[in-house]
Amino acid sequence: MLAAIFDWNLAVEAFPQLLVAFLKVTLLVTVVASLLSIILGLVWAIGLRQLPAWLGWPLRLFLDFVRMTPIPVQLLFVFYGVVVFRPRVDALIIGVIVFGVHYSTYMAESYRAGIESIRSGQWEAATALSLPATRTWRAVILPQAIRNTLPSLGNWTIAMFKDTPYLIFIHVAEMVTRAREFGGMKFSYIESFTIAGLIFLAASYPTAVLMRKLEKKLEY
Amino acid sequence: MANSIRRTAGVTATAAAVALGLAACGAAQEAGGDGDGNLLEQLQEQGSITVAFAGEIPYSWETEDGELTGATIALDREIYAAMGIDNVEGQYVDWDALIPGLNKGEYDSVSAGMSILPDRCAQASFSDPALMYTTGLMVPEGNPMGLSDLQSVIDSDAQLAVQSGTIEQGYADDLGIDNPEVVQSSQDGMAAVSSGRVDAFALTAISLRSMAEDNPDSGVEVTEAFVAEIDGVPQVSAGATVFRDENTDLLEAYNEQLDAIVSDPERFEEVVGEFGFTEAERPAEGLTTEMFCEGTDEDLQEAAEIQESK
Repeated sequence: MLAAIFDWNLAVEAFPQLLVAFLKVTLLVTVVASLLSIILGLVWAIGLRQLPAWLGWPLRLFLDFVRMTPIPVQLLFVFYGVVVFRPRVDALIIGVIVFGVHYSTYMAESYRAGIESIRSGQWEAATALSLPATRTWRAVILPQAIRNTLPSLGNWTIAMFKDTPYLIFIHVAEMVTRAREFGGMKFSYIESFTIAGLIFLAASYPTAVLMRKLEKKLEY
Repeated sequence: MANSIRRTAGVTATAAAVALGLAACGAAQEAGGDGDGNLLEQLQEQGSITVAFAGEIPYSWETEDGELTGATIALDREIYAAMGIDNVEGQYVDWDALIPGLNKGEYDSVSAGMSILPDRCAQASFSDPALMYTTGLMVPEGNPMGLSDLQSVIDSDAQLAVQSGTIEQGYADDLGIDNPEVVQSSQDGMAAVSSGRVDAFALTAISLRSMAEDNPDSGVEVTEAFVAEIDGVPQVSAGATVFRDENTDLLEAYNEQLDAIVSDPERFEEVVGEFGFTEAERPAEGLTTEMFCEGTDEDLQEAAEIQESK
């Protein structure tokens, strides 16, 4: 029965193609966009706390706007906006930037939660010692805050992994699109989608383990 | 695109489910009606046949007034009328579900100019070649890079666009063309050319021509059609009508009438000419479905020689 549903030869044929698509697009975009969003997210979070109100609320508005509109819409909007001025722009770069900025808004929220979990005594002590703001952040607040934030940053990274199929909206064919094409070619989808799912799992699981290890290392 | 192998994102889950369900029941499915051996007689009695189409211009589609039209529909009407079946009904089906639905017995034939390919021959029976496909390139007006075929795209380092799931995407892959833009629809491909995002868009020549004619202001033109070559093997491609494996009587009767049209240049032109098909798309005598179903390098080479010597 299984043989009728699942053709191992097709699965074997699909695997190398899908792996290449995974490495060249899915993994590349996720890694670079994750780094971008981890850095930007922190910048937003500190900005929201430190900036004067007249700069703070436009930033808040921008972050909410990005966080509350869907990724496909943002991809299309930026892509067709940029193409008007730079027709030859590499769609992959647009993908990285949109994913990076989109997820940075979620990460900013995570950082904010981490920062707000620091007891007010820590802030007061820093003020009492008249530590400059940069030193307060670097030496007192962030080391504690990031420890609290790390698990959810890991989750956002894994979520980003699974959003990469949206890249087809800007003509970038990543692994899931390739799996669909392969299925259409053979009139049999189960094999290529199974392989794609397993590759996702094989990549996401070590990421999760790695994050857990990192958390342990940062514990007191 | 008659030779496209895909069809869009949203339907994938359904198509996969259909395909899965079908794989599960597989050959056990005795498909539609009773006493299948006599499908031909049954259809002649009814005077009507239902064919599936995927809504692709210029092969088979429904006009805004709901009228079924296109090159393969015109062929079907001629052929079935000669067989005593006067009425051809259409059923719109997503590309991916055309063959699965046929085997489930939802309709009796697929009229979408589907390319004869080994993987498909394993699932259903194809008629004799009805239409020959060649590849074309859509380029900006005036063809500034002087492109003529896929090799010229490689040589001049031009940026190519292909449509997801089409044969041309496979060619680009096989030729190792660097990072082609993968568009979701032929309209996206034309937009990519006219916006200057890509230098060329490769697709079945006949599809490109009809699109360029429908959009005279888009600033694009279509190069002369060519047969793509991979490792020196010409990738000849033929479209045909699809039937269930067990309906051999219907297939044979269909082939007989089809061959009468295809072997006569004037009649071929008369039937499909209005949809943009020319003598170049008329299959040469001697081309067989088996060649394309086998699809080895030797078969394709032989088919190319036969078609060329026409």
